[in-house]
Amino acid sequence: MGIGQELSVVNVSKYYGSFLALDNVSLRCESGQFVSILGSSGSGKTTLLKVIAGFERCSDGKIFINGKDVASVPCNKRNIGMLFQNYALFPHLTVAQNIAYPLKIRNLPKREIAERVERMIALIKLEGLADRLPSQLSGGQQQRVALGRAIVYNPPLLLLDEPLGALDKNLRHEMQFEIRRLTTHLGITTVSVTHDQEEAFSMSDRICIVSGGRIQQFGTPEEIYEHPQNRFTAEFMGTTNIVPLEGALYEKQGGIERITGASPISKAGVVLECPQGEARPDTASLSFALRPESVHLVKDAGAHPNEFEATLTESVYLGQFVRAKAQAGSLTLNVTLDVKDFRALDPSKSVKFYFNPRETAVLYS
Amino acid sequence: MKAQIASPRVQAAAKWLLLGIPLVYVILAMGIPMIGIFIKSFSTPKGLTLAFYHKALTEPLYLSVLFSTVETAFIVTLLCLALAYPMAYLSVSARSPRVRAIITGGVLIPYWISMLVRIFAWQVILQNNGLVNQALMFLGIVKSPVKLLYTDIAVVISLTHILLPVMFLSLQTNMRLIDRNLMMASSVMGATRAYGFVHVFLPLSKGGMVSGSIMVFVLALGFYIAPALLGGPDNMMLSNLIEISMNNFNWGLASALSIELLLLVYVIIGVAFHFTGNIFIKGAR
Repeated sequence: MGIGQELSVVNVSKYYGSFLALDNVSLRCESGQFVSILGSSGSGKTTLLKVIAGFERCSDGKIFINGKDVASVPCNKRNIGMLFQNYALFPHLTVAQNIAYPLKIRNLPKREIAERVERMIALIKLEGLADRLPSQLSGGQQQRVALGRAIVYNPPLLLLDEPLGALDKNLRHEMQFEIRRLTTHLGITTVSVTHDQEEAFSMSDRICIVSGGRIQQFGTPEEIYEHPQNRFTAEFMGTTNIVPLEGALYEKQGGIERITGASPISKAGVVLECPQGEARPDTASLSFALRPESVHLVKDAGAHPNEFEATLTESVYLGQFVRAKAQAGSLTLNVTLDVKDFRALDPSKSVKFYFNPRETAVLYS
Repeated sequence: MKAQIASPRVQAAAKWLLLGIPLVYVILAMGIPMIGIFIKSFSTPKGLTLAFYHKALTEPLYLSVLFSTVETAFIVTLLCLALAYPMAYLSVSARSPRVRAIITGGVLIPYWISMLVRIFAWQVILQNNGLVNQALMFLGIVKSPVKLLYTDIAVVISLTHILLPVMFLSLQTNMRLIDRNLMMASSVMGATRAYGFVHVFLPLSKGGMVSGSIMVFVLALGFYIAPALLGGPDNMMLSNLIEISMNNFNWGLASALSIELLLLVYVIIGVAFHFTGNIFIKGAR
């Protein structure tokens, strides 16, 4: 059994003066889960973290840790661990003293403090560096100390503020695994704020997309990437194409909704498929997200649904594949092509593409 | 047209010129007179002597002046530290920018008023029928006026007032460099504000306390005008003693006392550096 506890944020709003930084945000992290709050700067993600940590009081709403409302509990009584972006190590204290700090606050006996600090230093793999000052450590080592200090008192909830932002790329990968290893090992519930999609994807059980102080979507990485619920999420995650569809006709087929309609990319019209729950059969005008990797070259004409013609306008060679722009009707689509296929093409002629009705995400907003 | 970049030789020459002008000025205005004072402190018309130092270091009057100078400077330093610390702390940590500006302005604006004006103001305030005595009598704390003016109390009060901004600025500069996240980290780990202050903020502001204290102490040691105008004959400070010696044309003794004061300052700075590292070079730590 891990030490993690469940975190529930319920209808939380936060005003700064008249500026609404968090707009009725609700979020539930099950115990032991790793949840990333992903958004660009100014999205409200840091405010959300501050409200959970208790640095800021929320204007409205409730925050439950293990079922207990902590919205009005001061920061130092919430028993939360937090890893700061710049680590916030105490520069006048050694590695061991930094890690011992939260234990001393808790008035543990000296022997126990020494034991737990030693065990933590072993866990974060900094044996032999206990007596160094933070300024004598590398960036990665400093982060390990900050992490050790944040979890040494077994907080049920760990908050990470842009945990890997200050590290270079190689170290970032190493620390991603390191943080995940430790949080899984302890079974600690973790909420990480980041603007880095790759980081969110590789570390999280759930991702929460935030924009304009609102939660745009909350789900597993697969759900977020493959089934974006709105245009913002679709466009935010990686590269995608947003294609309009007019005069939609809906047809149920065993739990699947088939949507046909007119689209600027194809005179013949397009067909989409989505689970019935996601369709809104009374809406005639919608759009759908089409990932570049879901646009395929037609090799035997007429064999595929959603065939359309396009001309390639730009292409960039990226080693494994070619990223290109294809003009289809009035729309310019991002597509990715296999290098061999791309070389076999005649760039002066139009190219036939198709996409699978299921490899799309229907967007109503 | 391409921007002209000076050749390395011209750059080096410019650097030496920039360094050289103030250096020559310091040598002419400070170095040469210091050498003169140093020579005078050892010489009489008849030849070399240690008599001035002997007198300065054995005569009870001179020793008691030395002692009371150090004592006064020490008390002033402690008072400045005690008064400036909370103000500097508030000036960097108050949430409202207006409060921060008012505190900083409140300390610094009086600094722009001429020192003589401030000292004369203290004469008015501290005299027998001045503001302080009137208030004390009105409140019934004393029946007849307390003698404040021309005592070491007046000297300590005015020196503290004059040197407070020095301590304040030194502390404030240092405190501004303390990462605010540290206190947040302390609090999220479970510490009360008081615990975080004692274990994180206070140790990290040590550099500012040391550099501020050295500056205030050194300035107070050699202060002349305030003790001359507000102090009495019984509580002279070393600088007043030097002045009296000069007025008596005892240049040798005045020089020996000056060198004594200078060495005292060096010893204090040396001791402070020994225990805290060279804070003037390392900056706030």
